[in-house]
Amino acid sequence: MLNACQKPAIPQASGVLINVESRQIVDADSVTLRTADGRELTFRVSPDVARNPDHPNTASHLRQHMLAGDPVTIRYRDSANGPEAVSILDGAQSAP
Amino acid sequence: MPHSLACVRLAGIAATPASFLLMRILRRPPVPNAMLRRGVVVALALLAGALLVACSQPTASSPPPTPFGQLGAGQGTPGRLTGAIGNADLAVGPDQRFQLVLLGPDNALVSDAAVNMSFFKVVGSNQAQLRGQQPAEYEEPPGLPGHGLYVARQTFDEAGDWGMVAEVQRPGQDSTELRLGFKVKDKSDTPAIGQPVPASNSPVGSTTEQIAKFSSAQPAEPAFYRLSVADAVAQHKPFVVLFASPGFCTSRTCGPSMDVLADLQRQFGADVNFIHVEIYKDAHPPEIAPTVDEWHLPSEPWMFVVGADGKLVQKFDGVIRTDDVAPAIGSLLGAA
Repeated sequence: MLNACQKPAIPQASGVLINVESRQIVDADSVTLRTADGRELTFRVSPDVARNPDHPNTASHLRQHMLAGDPVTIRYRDSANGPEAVSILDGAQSAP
Repeated sequence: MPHSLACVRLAGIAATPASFLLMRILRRPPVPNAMLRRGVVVALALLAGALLVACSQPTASSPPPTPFGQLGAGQGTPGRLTGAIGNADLAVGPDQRFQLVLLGPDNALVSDAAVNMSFFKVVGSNQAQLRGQQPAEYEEPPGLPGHGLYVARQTFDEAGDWGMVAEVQRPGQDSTELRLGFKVKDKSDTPAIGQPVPASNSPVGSTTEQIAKFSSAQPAEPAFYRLSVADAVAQHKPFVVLFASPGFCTSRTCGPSMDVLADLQRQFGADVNFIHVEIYKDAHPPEIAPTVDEWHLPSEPWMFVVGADGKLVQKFDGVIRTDDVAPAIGSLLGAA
């Protein structure tokens, strides 16, 4: 029971980006992901995504992923305004 | 399949060749997760109930449909083609370079299709007018086979909601129709063609050490940093300026666009100045270089061709190829 009460893994989804909404070049407002099974999932994007010191995924960089068809993995959290991407990683990643 | 009607009614239409179900485009489908989740809930009801009460942990769920109005992606039917619009700054103006990324059912980029695009202006809640129709060309960034997109030239004569229907014919397959909705702004964020460009004091340098402080290009070509944009405007000589961060997208679109800049310099260097401006201040994200702010760039890379009078002649974004830019420079020099 104690193990079961540990914090669940961060939910994530992998696929290719088919839309990147942004009002400027750094912070994306939202992204839409198409998963391998054809679902389209839209996420608000946390400002943290563009400020990841290891791999800053700015809005313009995410657009490049979209243009090149390069897959990404979105880790997200649920919020009152819907799911929010907290990190976006290159490629299809396994769950943390 | 010609779209022969100039004005297409969108509601309650039969399946005619001119059908354009824009209302369907303008509403994203719900994420198909409810049935799956119901099954899981039934199977785990007792255990889940006990644990949720005991632990009060948030549960993961699939995202709901988007609440955002701006469109740019296809309908998302599993097993079908879908698409994404590559442009970041579509605005009213002639001869716009409309870029369509095509994805197959396996989410891989499509590069083998014949594509015809039809463009419609939405004129009411359920009506659209055909405003243009042309075959698209498949364009790849240099050195990146299979990573291209489809480009058609279209004049957008009115701001607002537009739609695009792409007829996609892949070898050995039935023709498929893909519909996308998008917005056209009345004025572009980036400098407008025919208008003076901002005379920005972009950073300059002559040594590798100096340039490395503000450019992520590796190696940096010093010739691209000997003039600021302001210097180039003051010289009253045509120039080309590339905004890109090659250090952060080395293998996709920015890196190749630096190669295009070098190609163009070899062809036109005697008559045209060439400048690279880094996107990020101090050559590292996320803070933006002041020149990028002054030019109001919403994305990268961008390449601008500027006349001797300091006015913008042509601009290119996304996938940038020498074959697209060279004619614009040639025309500029021929007209001088």
